[in-house]
Amino acid sequence: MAFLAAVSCEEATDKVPLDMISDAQVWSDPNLIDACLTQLYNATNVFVIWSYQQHSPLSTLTDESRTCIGWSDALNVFTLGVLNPSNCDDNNYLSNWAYNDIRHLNEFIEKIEDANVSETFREQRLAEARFLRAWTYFNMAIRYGGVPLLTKAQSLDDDLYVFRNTEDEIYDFVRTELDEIIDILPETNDEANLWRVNKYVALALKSRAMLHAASIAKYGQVQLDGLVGVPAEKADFYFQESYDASKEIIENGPYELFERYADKAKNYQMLFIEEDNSEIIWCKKFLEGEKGHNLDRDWQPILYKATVACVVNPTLEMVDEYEFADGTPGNTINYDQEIDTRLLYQDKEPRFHASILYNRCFWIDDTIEYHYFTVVNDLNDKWNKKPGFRGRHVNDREAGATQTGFSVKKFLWEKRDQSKGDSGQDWIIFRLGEIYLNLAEAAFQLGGKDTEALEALNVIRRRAGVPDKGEINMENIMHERKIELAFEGFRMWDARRWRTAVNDFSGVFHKLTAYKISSRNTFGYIVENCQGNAVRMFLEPHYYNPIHQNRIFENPNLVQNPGYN
Amino acid sequence: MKKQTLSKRMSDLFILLLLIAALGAGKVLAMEEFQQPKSVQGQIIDGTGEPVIGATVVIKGTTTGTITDLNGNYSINIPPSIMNPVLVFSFVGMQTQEVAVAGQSVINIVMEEDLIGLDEVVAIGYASEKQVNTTGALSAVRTEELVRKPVGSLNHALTGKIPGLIVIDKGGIPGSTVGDYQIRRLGSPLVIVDGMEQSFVYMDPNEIASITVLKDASAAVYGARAGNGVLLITTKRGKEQKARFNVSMSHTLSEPTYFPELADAATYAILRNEANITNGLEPRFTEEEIQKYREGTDPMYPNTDFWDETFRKYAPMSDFNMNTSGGGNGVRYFFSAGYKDQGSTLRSGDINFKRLSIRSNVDVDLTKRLKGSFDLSGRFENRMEPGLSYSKIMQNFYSSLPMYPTRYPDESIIPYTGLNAYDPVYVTDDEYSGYNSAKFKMFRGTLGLNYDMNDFVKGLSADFKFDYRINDNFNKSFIKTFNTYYYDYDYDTETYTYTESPIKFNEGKITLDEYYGRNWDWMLNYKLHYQRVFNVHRVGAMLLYEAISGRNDNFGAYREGFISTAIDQMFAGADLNKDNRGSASEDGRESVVGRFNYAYRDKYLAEFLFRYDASPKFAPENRWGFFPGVSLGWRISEESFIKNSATFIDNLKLRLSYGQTGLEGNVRFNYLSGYQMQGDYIFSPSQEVLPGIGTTGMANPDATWATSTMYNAGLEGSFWDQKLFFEVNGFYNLKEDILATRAAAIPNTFGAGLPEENLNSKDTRGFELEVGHQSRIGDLFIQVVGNVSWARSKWVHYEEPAYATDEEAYRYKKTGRWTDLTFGYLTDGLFESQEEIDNWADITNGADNANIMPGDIKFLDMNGDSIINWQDQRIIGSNNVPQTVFSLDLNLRYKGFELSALITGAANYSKYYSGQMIVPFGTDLRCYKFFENSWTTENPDPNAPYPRLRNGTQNSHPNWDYPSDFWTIGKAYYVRLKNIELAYNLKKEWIKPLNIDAMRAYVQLYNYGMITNVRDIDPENTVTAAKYYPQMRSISFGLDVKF
Repeated sequence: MAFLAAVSCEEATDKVPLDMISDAQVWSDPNLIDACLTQLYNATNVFVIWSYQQHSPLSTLTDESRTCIGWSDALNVFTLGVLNPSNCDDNNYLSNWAYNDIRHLNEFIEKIEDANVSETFREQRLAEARFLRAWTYFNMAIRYGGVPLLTKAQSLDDDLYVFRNTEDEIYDFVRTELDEIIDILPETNDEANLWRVNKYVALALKSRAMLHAASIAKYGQVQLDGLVGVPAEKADFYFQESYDASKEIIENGPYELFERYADKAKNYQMLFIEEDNSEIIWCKKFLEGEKGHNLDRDWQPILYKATVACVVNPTLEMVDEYEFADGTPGNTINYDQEIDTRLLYQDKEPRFHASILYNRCFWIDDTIEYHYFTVVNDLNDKWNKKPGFRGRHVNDREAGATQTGFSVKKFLWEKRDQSKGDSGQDWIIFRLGEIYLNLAEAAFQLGGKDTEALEALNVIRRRAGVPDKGEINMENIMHERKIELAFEGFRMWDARRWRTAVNDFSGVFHKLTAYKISSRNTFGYIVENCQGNAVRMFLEPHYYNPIHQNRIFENPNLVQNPGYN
Repeated sequence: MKKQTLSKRMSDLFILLLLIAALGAGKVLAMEEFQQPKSVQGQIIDGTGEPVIGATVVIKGTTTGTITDLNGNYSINIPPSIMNPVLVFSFVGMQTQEVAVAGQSVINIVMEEDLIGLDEVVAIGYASEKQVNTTGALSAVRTEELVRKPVGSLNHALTGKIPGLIVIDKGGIPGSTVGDYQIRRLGSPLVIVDGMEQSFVYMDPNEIASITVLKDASAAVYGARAGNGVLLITTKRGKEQKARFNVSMSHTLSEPTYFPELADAATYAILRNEANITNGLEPRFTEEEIQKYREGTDPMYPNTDFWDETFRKYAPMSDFNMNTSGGGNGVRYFFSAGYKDQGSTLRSGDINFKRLSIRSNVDVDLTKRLKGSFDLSGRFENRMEPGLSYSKIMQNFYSSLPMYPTRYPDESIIPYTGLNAYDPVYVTDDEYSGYNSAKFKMFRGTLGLNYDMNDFVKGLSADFKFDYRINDNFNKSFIKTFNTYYYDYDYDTETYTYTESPIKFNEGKITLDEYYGRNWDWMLNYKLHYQRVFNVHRVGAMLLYEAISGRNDNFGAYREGFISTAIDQMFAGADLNKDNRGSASEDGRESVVGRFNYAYRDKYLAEFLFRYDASPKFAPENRWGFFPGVSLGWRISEESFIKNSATFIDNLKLRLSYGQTGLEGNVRFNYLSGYQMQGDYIFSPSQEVLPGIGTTGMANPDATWATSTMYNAGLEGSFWDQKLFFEVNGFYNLKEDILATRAAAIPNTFGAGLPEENLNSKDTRGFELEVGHQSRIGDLFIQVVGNVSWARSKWVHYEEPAYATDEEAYRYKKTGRWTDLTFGYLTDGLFESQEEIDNWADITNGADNANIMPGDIKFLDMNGDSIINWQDQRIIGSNNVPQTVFSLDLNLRYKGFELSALITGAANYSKYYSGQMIVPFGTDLRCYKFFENSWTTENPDPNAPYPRLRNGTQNSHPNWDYPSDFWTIGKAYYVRLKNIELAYNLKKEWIKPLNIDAMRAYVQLYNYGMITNVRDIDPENTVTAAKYYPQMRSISFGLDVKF
């Protein structure tokens, strides 16, 4: 009884959550404040993930490639022209309605003001958080156009029924924020903080964002009183801002184009494999085993991995975009011949060999067999011997087999363990290569800087091992971006800001169906629609994502983007 | 392949028998003898001619009484002071009888089994009360019936037994807690076992003395947690009598009620070709190949039935229980030990569930006034699965197409069965795939003291109770690896050659994951109890203080890189990629409970009860909640005008009640805000992963309980000695202050996970009706009870945006509407021609029906705006919880034979097909045979039950996966013969020489026979995809022995 009486009944309700750190503890401890910012870095880079992970990475929604996952809803919703306000998620593939992140960043920015920490620490972390906020708004603007610009964490007493700001106001906010923090952020970070935001990361964002704003001013239309579109007269201003930022990075930044290997194809391949190399301005780091991703598992040719595999399948159009090593256009191959695929492609430029896997090419320890069937003599007897479900040929696999005859080699490395969904290669967000191309484009658009623009373009071509272009024009710039930045997640946004997507992303995209001719031990080819009988459709409204129906139900002040109902 | 080792099972059983024998060999206490002067004597037997042992015989209006002995004999002294003595014979589970002595000195009685008898005592929460005196809507179940149900979990055994209790059999692998039971469609009820919240589905039913369901104000004694009603379970206790032993054993064989058949190789090939045509692709298979698959004789063209290879016909289940109870010399006891061994339908037998339950309930008279009780119970459960969980097995099963072989002539070579598949025959075998084991241990001890304070205040007693419980979970996953091989067959030499494929089970690794979790709970209560009769006034009161405390700690660890499968222990793994994790939480409660009841002449009954609860989940100032209840009863049959004139009325009672209870929700401490570990990031080339913290969101210091207010009116009656009896209840329930996030109603640009606030409210109305008949014609005893109940809920207030247009409001508004409405597109069969498609409203939202083809579903443009979008969605059904459930329970007895049947059914629910049931060749490629009936180019039937086949999804519509009436049975129903049992009680003269008191053998069929409008799947299945463990039907044999 004594024991029982000793069980204090107060104890029954004297309970606390055992997994919570109080507000007061966090905002007086620099380590916890850092941890808070650590999570914000993690959260605001989530759209980076959409660039390469999941079944339908961004690349597969463009003319670069398709996914092998035939049932992928993203493939269908985004490429067949049926995107609408109720089938677009807030955060998926193309979408990023990031107001949770914005709130957390605003809270951080407000709370660190009063935190009991040193002035340098405060200034530094505050600038980083403001960068992440600008980065997040930029990523929303390229998707939705103008969005409500909230720079304070709202309280429930505030007017919550906010209006959209104009698209130009968002780019202007990004610009002024970056201008203010560029001088606060350090030139370089120490080893332990290497991939925190520094001055040049901010300049790199500026280079990219201003180029985007300028392009929209030049190629887009102002609609809905500026909710989408940037006034045409601001084009030159934004091109100049982008140009200046790019120039400062190239001239003063501690970065160099990656040129470690004499073999140009290997050099380009290793640019994305060798971590922390001299070309990287900002990246999201991964670590096998602790913080890995699935790129190898998902993008790897089928031979080496079960489950998903071979997700990104370049279209024949993309493959043809790669020039030959002598600088001639790549779309001159005659597929109406019996020839080993290796011979078809042997003269392609180095970046092709670093980026594309095709039938008969060598990968890791074996020859890739991306041929779809075998015939004895000709197509008339193609069903005579078919691999069925047993062999190692490509159409054995119902899923996870390339749907175009190609898959992506870029970002993969032969020496990595291919069997796991847990890879550690970093995902580069900004690299010097992009900055050169941004510079080339901005310089060209500004006019009177053609020599500088051409040189910037050729710096990239020289590094890649292709002959210089003799002339600067948008066609060359567009081509170079498409090849140099292939599969990195640029294509969607480039084609949108140039307003070329209606042409570029619509129509039939092709696959190269290779078949083996066993009697002569050679290969034949059929060029056909890589999506069966489906025709891709990118319509004028799709230059902007729809705002989700529910967002408009909640707040009728939000005006839907043009062309959606 | 492995064989089940019978000898292992036998030795398990033997050890168990020994254990039980040891328990049972306790002191056998002699029965107290009565020294009665001779007066009236006789024997009491039951309907089967067996003596009723321990029946009570009382002289009406006095406390003088006795109980029957081992032979059912009694003898009772009639004091001369009593005029016109009437004897009252009663026994638990039997109808009470009153017989006037009228000069007889021998009165023999045949007692009839009762439903829940009027005089039966039922648990009402912290006490028990005679059913006849209760004022609440409560129902009790006869537990003997539950004991014999051939089901894996006890909730399924309650089906059809209680009006207003909805039980949905969701299937579920052995030992899983799948299954839904709701009282009055309100949600999951609170389950109290001997006073403490505890899951009951895996209790040994032999331990249970009673199950009472509190449906109205009577639940208010459980306060904050009781908003969805209460299931009250009490365990058996001993009586002062000679030791009695019960042994029961049963064996059950189960098979799926229904499982959709998969297409064989030839059918698959034909359907696949058809889908390829749709998508503009070459046919996948040639005619010659299809023919070869059809024949299945060419080793290169197999036609494998993976279902047959993976699953056996029947899943076995064995139950064994032995218990003993008795008492004497101030000690009473109940000991029980039970063992359950449930297998699965896997051929390998490697999914199974074993349970050992033990219980010892002991009552001791410590002094004249002080009684003690000491209860110990334990449950040991072991759930085994092979290296893949059931759902993953099914995934592999579906991805293994019939064109793959399931085993080669050399069985040590494991076939490649597809890119996303491992041969189900091998993954279901723990020798190849490893194992997942989940061991659960529950230990509970209860100390109770009761002090009789009659000497100080007449009718007053005090109770003290302390309960302590530990739940242990230890899960271990040791996953092995194996390589898979392609093959080639040489027709000339008739030999196979094998090539290793890149597909390795468990990615080529041997891995071990262990998880250990422990819950500690204690409960303490002090109770004062007062009960007294003052002339015609019966007065009762109870006051109770209760404190509950709980704590959970758990951690887990992982390693890989085992060099062999020889040692399945942590230390044997490599250091690379090793990992560990853990968490902890705590909870508690303080409560004060009171109950006062008053009865005038046992005719007018009134009860008031309340509970005052505090929970640490809420801020200190919102911590306490008050939950009152009032109920009134009028026993009309006690009124003299009835008693005198309408003697055919045994009982007639009108009840009215009002009660408030609470709902805590799943909110934990949301009055506090802070930061939790969340996310991580790498900043440095040295790759140090830095942990991050993220906010828990906004706090809501005002959060408190949701309340559930129940109004109930009931009428119950019994006529002509129970030849007709009924009970009807109507209720209205209002749940207010349901926690919801305001976020639904404010723009999400606000950006925060808003705290849940007490915002929503919904009401539920319904009724229950039970009607029964009971009679005896010669040796034939008949009992029929039917019940039907209906309930449905509306949102009184649902936090949502102010919809701008009527269209939006129609489609999305919840306030003021039934909670179970489901919206979807309306359809009109399938497109017949391209022309029809071209003239149809735009299904593709701007893409001009580009990829729509004949044979696709015709969605209807309801508002005529030529575009099919959310505005065209209409109500297509309710949800998957039936609004109406009914049952008919029939019992017949003739001499030693017993026949019972239970028919149950449900109506007014909707069945939605999705995922695998509507998309062949989807994520995992399988295809059901029923897709043969699809629209095809050869047979373009616009009314075909399945549309045109496609590779992948029916994705031509932007909302292709949105429910439509094409994939819905809006008003589903089923009536099924849930249970039918035939039993035989062996004649006493046969078994007496064996010293056995009673022996009963039975055979039972469960879930056989059904009428329904649901196709392709069991009507109770609520999982729309088919990767579930199916509902089972079973046949079982059993034997109960009493000695």
